[in-house]
Amino acid sequence: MNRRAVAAAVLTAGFVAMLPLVALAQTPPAARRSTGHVIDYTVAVQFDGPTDFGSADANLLRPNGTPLSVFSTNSSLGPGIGLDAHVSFGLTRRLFAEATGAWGRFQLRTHTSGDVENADPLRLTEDLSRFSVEGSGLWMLWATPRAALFARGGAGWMRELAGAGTLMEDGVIGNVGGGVKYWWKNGAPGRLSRLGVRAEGRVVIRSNGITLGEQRTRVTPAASAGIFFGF
Amino acid sequence: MTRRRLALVAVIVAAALTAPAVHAYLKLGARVGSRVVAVKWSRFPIRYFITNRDVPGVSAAQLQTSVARAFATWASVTGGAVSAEFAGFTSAEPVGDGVTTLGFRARADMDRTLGATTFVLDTTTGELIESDIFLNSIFDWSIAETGQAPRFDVESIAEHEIGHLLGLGHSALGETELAENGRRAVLGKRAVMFPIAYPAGNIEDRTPEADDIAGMGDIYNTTSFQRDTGSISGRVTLNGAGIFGAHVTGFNPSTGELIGTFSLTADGSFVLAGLKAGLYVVRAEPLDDADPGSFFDTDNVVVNVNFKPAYYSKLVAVPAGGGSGAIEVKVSAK
Repeated sequence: MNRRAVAAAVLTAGFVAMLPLVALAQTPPAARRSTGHVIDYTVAVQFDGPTDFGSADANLLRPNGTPLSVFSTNSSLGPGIGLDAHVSFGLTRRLFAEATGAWGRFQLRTHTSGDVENADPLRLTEDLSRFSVEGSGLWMLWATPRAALFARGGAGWMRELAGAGTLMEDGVIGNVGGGVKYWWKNGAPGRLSRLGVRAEGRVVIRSNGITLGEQRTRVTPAASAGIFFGF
Repeated sequence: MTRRRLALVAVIVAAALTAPAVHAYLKLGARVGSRVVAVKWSRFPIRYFITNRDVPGVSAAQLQTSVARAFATWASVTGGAVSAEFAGFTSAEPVGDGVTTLGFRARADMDRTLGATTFVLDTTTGELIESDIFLNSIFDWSIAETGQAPRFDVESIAEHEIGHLLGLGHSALGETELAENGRRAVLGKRAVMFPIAYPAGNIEDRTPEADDIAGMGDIYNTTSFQRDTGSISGRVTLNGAGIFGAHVTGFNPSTGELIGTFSLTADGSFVLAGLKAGLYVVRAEPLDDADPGSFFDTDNVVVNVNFKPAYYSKLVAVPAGGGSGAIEVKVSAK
């Protein structure tokens, strides 16, 4: 992970830590959440950090075998925004299995420079969309009737699209992170028995998919925040 | 069967003047009626003879071994779509006589030419019937495994000429500088089919580059080539008008591959084919690193070299088995 990514991860962790956990106490979660068969639904806005693909030169080969650069490129995937949808199924009081579908929109960026015939440097872009489906385990680390701190980790499949959908590459996506849930309603009478907010920070690991660099595996920070509800 | 013997440059010009955008790479073409068709072999293996003449440092048998390796290299990059078979040694010269022959000839009148390729083809179909290659024995030659300066490597030059024999024209993926004697020296290149050779002793041209492989795949267009690669099409324009003869390259930052083509019509149209799926930086530059006559018949067409190199303003997405939408690379005058 490069320096920017680390900084973003720290900021994400800070954001998570500042959410209202002041009421944390060593009391078990509410009865409705402890039955082991709770199903919660979450819809969240997702923020993805940037990915640096590094530099690559368009090289010719000199007679002595060393490269002669025609021009240089430096490429990255800009920060993105998208939507997450989670379905959490309580396996035990603390352990949940979670299925996640996500969509995000990003911008691929390449800067050209150092042209051997002095072409003007340029910033080239292309839009990228990512769809993913993941399975995760979510572990409640600490909980009160109002709030809980959790860790989550999982992996799944992703599809990235560019060129108005003409270029399509599949890959593997994984995540490790944690966050908080805060209940506005918990075990309330009526159809909507649980309602609250959820925020989390995570490290996202992607392998393959569309890239502008030689590395097939990339690590980026990400965060999401949204509402969850249960019936 | 109508047969004609054609010089390489004349064939390129036939393609360049009339080839539509489907001529993705600078490959050899022949006029058939009102059409221009790709010059290619349709019957394999190509049976070839080797002249039974030794030159200092290279015997006829050694020449045959080097030529066989060069044919095998091209065969491998096409997945076996082309193949060749050594038919024997001959005392005949490598000239049009109905038999494909490769060998040494002393051509003092061509003191800047290491080798040349000529063709006999069926002018009703564009099918190649015969092709002959000579390596100019006024130069010193070597078959040494790692090269032997100041001798030229037989396999490298044979590979370039066999590229022509199979239907490839010249690539412009190279940078040169003019020497005091008026000759161009290679600063760097990235294609066996660049018209100017590396200095004597160099063996880099034994290995085809992405540009060469794309060109050969485009000619013999195997199923895997169609399935696995895509293309970029578009125009190169100066103040809205097309430019003929601009050199257009596509660079894939994730693979480092660099592939080139030319704008081949008056409206500046080009097609870059044989690209692996991915994102590309597209750049257009004037054809100023070799004699334009190496690529086009400059008696009949005007190659515009009076513009500054420029990049297309976006990354271009290329899908496997498909093409990008049409793009326009806008350049400005020098």
